[in-house]
Amino acid sequence: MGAPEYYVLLVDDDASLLETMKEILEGKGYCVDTSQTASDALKKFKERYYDVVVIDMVLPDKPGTELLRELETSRIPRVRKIVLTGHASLENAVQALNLGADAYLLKPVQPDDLISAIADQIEKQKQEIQLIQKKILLFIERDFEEKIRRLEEEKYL
Amino acid sequence: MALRGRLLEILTGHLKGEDQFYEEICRIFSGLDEVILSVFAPGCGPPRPIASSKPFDLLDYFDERSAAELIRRALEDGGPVKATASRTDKPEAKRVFVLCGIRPSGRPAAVLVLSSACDHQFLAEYVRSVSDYASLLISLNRTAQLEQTILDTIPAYVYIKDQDFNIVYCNKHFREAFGDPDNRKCFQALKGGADPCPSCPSSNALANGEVAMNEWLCRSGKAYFSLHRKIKFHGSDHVLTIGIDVTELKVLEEQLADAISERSELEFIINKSPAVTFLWKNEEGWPVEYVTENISIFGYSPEDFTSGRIRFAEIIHPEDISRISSEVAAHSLNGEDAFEQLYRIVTKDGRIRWVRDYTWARRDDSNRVTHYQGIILDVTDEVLAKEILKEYASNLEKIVYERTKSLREAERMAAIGETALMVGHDLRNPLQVIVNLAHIMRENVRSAGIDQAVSAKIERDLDTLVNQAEYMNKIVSDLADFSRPLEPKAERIYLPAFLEALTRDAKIPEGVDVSISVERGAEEIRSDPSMLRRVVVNLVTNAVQAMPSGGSMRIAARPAQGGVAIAVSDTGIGILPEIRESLFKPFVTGKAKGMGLGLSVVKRFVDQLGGEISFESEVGKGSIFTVWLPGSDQTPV
Repeated sequence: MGAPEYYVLLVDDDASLLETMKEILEGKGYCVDTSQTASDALKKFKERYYDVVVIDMVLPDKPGTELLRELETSRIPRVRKIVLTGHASLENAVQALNLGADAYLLKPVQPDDLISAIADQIEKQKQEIQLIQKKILLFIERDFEEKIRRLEEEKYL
Repeated sequence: MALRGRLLEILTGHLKGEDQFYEEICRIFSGLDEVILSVFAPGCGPPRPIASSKPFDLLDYFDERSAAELIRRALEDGGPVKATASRTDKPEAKRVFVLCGIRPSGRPAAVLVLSSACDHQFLAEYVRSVSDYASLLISLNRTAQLEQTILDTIPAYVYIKDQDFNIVYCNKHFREAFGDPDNRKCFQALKGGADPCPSCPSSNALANGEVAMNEWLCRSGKAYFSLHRKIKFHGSDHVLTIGIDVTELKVLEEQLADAISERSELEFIINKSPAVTFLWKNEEGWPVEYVTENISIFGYSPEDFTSGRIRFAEIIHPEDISRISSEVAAHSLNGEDAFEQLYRIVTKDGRIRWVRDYTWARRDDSNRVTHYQGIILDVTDEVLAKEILKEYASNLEKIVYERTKSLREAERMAAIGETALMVGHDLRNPLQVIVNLAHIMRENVRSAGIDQAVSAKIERDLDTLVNQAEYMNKIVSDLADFSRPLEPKAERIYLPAFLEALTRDAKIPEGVDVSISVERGAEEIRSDPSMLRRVVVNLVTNAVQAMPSGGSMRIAARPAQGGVAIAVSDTGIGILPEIRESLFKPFVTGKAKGMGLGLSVVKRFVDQLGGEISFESEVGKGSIFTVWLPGSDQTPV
């Protein structure tokens, strides 16, 4: 397969949910890891880069909101974050989005909906990366031009 | 007698031989109290009175005609004679005159004037004609005395005043009432504003025969009524006044006026009060003799009764009349004259009012009851209030039971609320697993390459599995919604798009035909979108479930009562009458599948949004649920 591999991390306290979800996503060609706790998830983030993380808001060791906050503030590279929760309320959704969540889904979610949400996030991530790359290139070009200009000035002076 | 002797002596000296004349003279004057003789002769100067206790005005010698005039006036007026005749130039003429009159004291008097030159024949004739006057005088005198007695006896004051307001005559009663009128002028009294009559008119102010009347109060506080009449007295205009003391009459009149005003005052008060006052005759049917005007509170007029058109018994409620009759009879028989009754009367327009009747019996000399008088008070409200109270008391147990029941229900609800969130979360994970597994199985079936018919059957089963899982999820959501405290956040909602999106997401089965209509003026509403969404979704879900074999569902929004009414109607099975009452209560019935929490959530949300929900349903034909939501200015959030 020449297609690039995308890594997805599922964080939920329910083993059966993780198992079935993993099977579905792997069926769609994603590389899937699972974590049952927030601390295990953070450990996994340090080991490799994930394109998308799906987080349940209720975890055994700390709330999902706490995990979101740590992902925002730590030196972990940018990851697209989807919140999947059984506690559906406007307050929870707003709180999650404020903490950096990129999408908010309610349990039980139709697998197809989750799959398209992940694909959507990966697409956005791609676009974002391309945008950043363009900006870097532009910066380098400008920097280069500036240096050339200075050298020329020195030469004339 | 001395006077008569003197007279005879004089006459004898002059008129000897005329015995008959002397006798006649004596006879004529025998009835008179006083005789004044004045003898004069031609050429002897002014006559001198020869015998007088109190002389008249000086008499001169005068001719026959003027003497006759004097006599006439004397008799006419009954007053003193004033002789003003002029002297005659023929001293030899016959000169014998007798002047008669009544003096101010009321006593008759005569003046005999003799002339030395007169002849006996003439004198005799003249005296004969005068004798008629004299006898008339005597009779007049007697009449005058009688009249005076009458005037002094009648309880009225009588007085005569002249044009200068001098009192020239008054009776005894006048003197007693106002004192001696000597030198006293009515006019002066008038100026002082006091007795005897402050406003008695002058003779000039009265026409002939005119009678003036006035009433006045004297200084002593007594009231008088006076009549004034213009009369001729002594030949000139005078005013005769007759007055009577009307003090007692006035007092009576005032008392009467007071009584009348008191009575009308009392009637006014009674008529403004709710106490209707009656006087009935103790006869068949109780005919009414008197009733106050406030009978109008029962629709009748007093005239209805006093004319005899309606008897009192006829307005008593037919169910009460026999009881009231026997009660009244019993009271009267026992000699109880004051009693109280409670019964119903029928108003003129057919309403029934409860009244309390306070009755008094009136008896005649033989102790027979002739009349009843009563006060009737409308006590309908009181009676009804008592009935309600009684009913309330008897239902108290039931009320307590129901209150306890609803309290228990509230406690149950609170407990459910507490567990709802936990249950919700715990259930959603297994639901997610079920949904996931269905997905995996579907993928497996597709990739396994099994028989088309078998895989189709499996896929249908998986659809059902997923649908049921979703329905379970809805129950969980309802539970959470029902227990969660609500804080609606109003936003502007564009209803056509809102309803369109909502039905699209609702996964409405193929067999159900959906139509959405939004009338002009109902396009925009301010409300909490997520709550409103749940409301409509739940109604739509119910509508779909009510049509298991398809039908048509209609969602219609229209402006209503300053807000918007959204109606969701179906052509489904309808709602059984026995569960209609408890349709919006949670967990109470559980009779119909799919009705558990959905509608109670709807009700709760609609209440929170400040709206109202109602429904109509016919078994076998369908239902229509209408949610009314307030307009922007009425939204409480």
